[in-house]
Amino acid sequence: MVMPNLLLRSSWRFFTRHPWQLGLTLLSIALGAAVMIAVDLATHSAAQSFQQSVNTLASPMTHEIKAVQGRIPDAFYRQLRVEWGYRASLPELELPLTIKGVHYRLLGLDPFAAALPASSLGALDAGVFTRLLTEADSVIAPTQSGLQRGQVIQAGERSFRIIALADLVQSDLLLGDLATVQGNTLGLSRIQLKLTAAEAQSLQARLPPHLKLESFAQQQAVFGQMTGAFNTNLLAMSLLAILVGAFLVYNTMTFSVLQRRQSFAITRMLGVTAGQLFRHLLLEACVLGLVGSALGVLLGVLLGQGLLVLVTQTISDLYVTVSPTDLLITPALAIKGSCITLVAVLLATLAPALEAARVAPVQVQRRSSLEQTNQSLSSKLALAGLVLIFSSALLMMSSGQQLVLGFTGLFLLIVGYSLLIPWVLRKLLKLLQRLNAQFAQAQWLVALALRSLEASLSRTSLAIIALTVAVSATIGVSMMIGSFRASVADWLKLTLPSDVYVSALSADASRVEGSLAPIWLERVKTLPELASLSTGFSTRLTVEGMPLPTLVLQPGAQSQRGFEFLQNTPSNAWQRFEQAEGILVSEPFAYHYQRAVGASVQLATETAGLIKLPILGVFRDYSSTQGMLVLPRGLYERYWAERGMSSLGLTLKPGTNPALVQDKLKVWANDLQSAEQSLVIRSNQEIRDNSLQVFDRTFAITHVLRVLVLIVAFVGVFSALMALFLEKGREFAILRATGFTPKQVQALVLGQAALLGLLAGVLAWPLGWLMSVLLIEIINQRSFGWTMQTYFFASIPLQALLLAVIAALLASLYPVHRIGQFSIREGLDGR
Amino acid sequence: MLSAYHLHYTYPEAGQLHSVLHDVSLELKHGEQVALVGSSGSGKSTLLNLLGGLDQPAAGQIFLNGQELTALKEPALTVLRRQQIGFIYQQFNLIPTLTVAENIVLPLSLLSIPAAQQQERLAFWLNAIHLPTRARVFPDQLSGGEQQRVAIARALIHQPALVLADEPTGNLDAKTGQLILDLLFNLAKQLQQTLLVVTHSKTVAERAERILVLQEGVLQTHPNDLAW
Repeated sequence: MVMPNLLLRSSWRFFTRHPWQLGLTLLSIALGAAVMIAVDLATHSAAQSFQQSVNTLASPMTHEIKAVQGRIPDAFYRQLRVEWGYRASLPELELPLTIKGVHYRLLGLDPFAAALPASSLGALDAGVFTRLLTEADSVIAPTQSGLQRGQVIQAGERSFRIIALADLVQSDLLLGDLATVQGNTLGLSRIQLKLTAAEAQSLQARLPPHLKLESFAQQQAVFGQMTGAFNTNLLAMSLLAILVGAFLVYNTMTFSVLQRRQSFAITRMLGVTAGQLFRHLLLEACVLGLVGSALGVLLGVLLGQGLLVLVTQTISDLYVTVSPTDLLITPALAIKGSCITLVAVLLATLAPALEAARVAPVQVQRRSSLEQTNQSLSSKLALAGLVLIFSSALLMMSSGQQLVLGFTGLFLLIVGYSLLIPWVLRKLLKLLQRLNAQFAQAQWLVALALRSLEASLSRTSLAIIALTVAVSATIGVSMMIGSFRASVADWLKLTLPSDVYVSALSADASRVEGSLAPIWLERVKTLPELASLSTGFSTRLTVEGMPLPTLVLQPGAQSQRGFEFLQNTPSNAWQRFEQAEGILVSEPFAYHYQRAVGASVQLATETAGLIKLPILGVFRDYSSTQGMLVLPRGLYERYWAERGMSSLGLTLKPGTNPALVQDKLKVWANDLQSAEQSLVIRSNQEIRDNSLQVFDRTFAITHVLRVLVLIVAFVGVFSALMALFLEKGREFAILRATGFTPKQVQALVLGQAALLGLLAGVLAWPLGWLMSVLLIEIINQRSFGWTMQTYFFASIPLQALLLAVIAALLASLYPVHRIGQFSIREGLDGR
Repeated sequence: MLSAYHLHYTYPEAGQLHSVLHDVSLELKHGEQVALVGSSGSGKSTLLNLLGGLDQPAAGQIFLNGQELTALKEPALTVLRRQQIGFIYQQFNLIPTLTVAENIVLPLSLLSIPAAQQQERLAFWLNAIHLPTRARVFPDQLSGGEQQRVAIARALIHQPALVLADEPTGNLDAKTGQLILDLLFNLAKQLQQTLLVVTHSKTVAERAERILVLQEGVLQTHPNDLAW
């Protein structure tokens, strides 16, 4: 049957007559949608940025050849192009540059080797192009880099001159002719190729073992795998915002149905069927959902700009270096976000719409029936809540390593606990009334506030649930981050046994360190302050078929102190490691690959093909989520030809000032540094501080999302208090008429708001604690593979309680202000 | 036209069943104007709700133009209400977010009557209730008497067979109440509609052709035993 037009008109007028209610409903929907869309946009844009960093010039190439370690010999490129006939190939050399403390990359390429798209070189005129090829040491800088035309930049002993600025794909990338950039440097960073699947397969078969062929699509997939857990965590936080938003939509829709109950009763009496009314309310929700999600898309784009910086920063800190790029807004993302929001809004409206449609017309006219229904409903909901909490526990125990199921369990817990809240609130309010009757002095005023809150639980309990969930998320996440940070700080104290570290910066975005010149070892050994020395070589080995960061360690006297062994690692593990009997693996590796001490790991070697090495010990490590291996140098040199060194750990004699040694090393660094190498010389304290800074940056986005969830909840409390004010208008008018001053009525409302906040804060404690346990014990381990100590911070629940009360009091300010201007006559008339 | 047989109505309270109506039977003829009187709590409004299909009896049958209301499911009952019954209440029960005109034509809109016909009938009824210039105002801008006139127009516009009025003058002063009664009784008579008016008022009851008396849930057989 066609929906009567008059019903729609009536709805429209209802909302335009209650603009604050309409505004808050739309704001609840828009905020929930905005957080989700912003997270989606930021993570997709970060992935896009990674793709750009892989295919630096946005060229039509599909694959690239890289050396397993070091560089590709120049001779191989000649063989590939001339002898094997791969003409669509582009050789590149990439060097790191630091200009006034800002890191850049200098890319040398051969523009004649393969046709490059015009977009990759920007709008360069032919003159500039010719100068790039013919003038010595000339390079082009990106316009957006802040570098100047004509500027001379120094890279070690070499200098380059910027001859032009161009709109290049990435803001940290300088371009030069391959020969110019190479100078005396040997080898290539990579060779990009345009290949069909069949050509790639045939080339793969011909490649020598020290070179590997990867498709850009494959690299993108590996990136997706690496950042998958991180993205899932962000998605979960954004879904939490949607969940809280859905509670609020349910709240506002229920309230709007209650307000219009009389009108609906009349329409039912006049002949509108239950089905028509139900469809009408869903249609209304649909329109609100569409407008709200459209606003959410706009807000999400603004929010996404900010989140993108945090997301790329976190990905760079945790996984691979990714430069911030422009926000990638696609219609698909906007539609996806809007659809999820719409579904959430419709689901949230289902219950109030059903309730309005199911009740017989004659019952709808009876005011008290709803509270009675809610009272009996709260017991049923509590029962359903217990079932959900039990299911959550079952799911957690039976879902193995599945992160998504872990989050599903967490959400079941949150929803289950939320369903318990109305029942618990009734019991708590009854208890408070009993206590008030026995002990309080101003009994009647407190009793009035308590009874009034209890009588309106159908409206207020949803706001309390929303605030409880948001505050418990604050407790849970803060406890988790606090425990994590304390665990990382403890680990850092232990894991940096040397006093000063010298390391080479990576030449590409892989985060594997570069290589130190051998002369460093000789020089450092001559230091009179040196007590002992350890050397490390960071490389990437093919472990179980996947490239994995590996540290090749020549242990010093203090090196053992740097490892905290876990999982029943035997006491002789370190001695066996020093004797090159096996390897050590990090906790994330042991978790992801399900390997314990005594098991073996398969590695692809240069000299003996595939070998298996035994795991001697598992150590705590928070530096990589993929997991890492530590090989004794003796064992490594048996199977691999590369003899590199990327870091030195200096333990100084007692009483030596590390700063003085650092100064000495920095002077040497200036002497020895070449154009292709950037060095970092840091004390263990600097590394600790720097690592904790990185940690704090990593969780910046979590803090931002948590605040957003709280804002959504705040809107809910504000909306509930405004609703209460509207509902109680007549009651307030009677109080005023019987002699209450406006201040007394305002105090009553403020008291109710504070109590509402207090209840939410107290109810958030158990849920917050449970969330922190699940986040630490299950979600973190499944996301990153590491375990941590659980620390209890007494200040966090107290701060959360304060936060809930302040949020509720702030939300009550406007309703309280309105009460000051309240007309008794209009209130008594029910206007 | 309307027949009810052996109606019983109970409701639960504090674990016990309370009887509101006990073995009530009645019959209304086509075009008849009847008053239902009784003291507060005697079950008048409950009986009106049952006869209007707004509620279901615990036992008994109700027939409207040969169709058994008590055998109908809610959707069919809603359609029957829409087509054959008009309601008028003491509290007027107008929809605050619809204008006077929209409130009046709402039953026609539900019956999918063409717009042109709706406007034609609206013009007639606005004149009939003496509010031709107030079509675009909202109910809260009208006086009580004006609101009740709009409610009467809405109850009669779709020409229902049965009009049920629950204390239609209860919220009005004597003079306005008199005008409303004139309007209601005259229009119902003109349109040959059966009218059942629930009232406390002797004046109202005396305008009816027949008076039914309800006492403690039982319909009295001797109408002269009036409480007043």
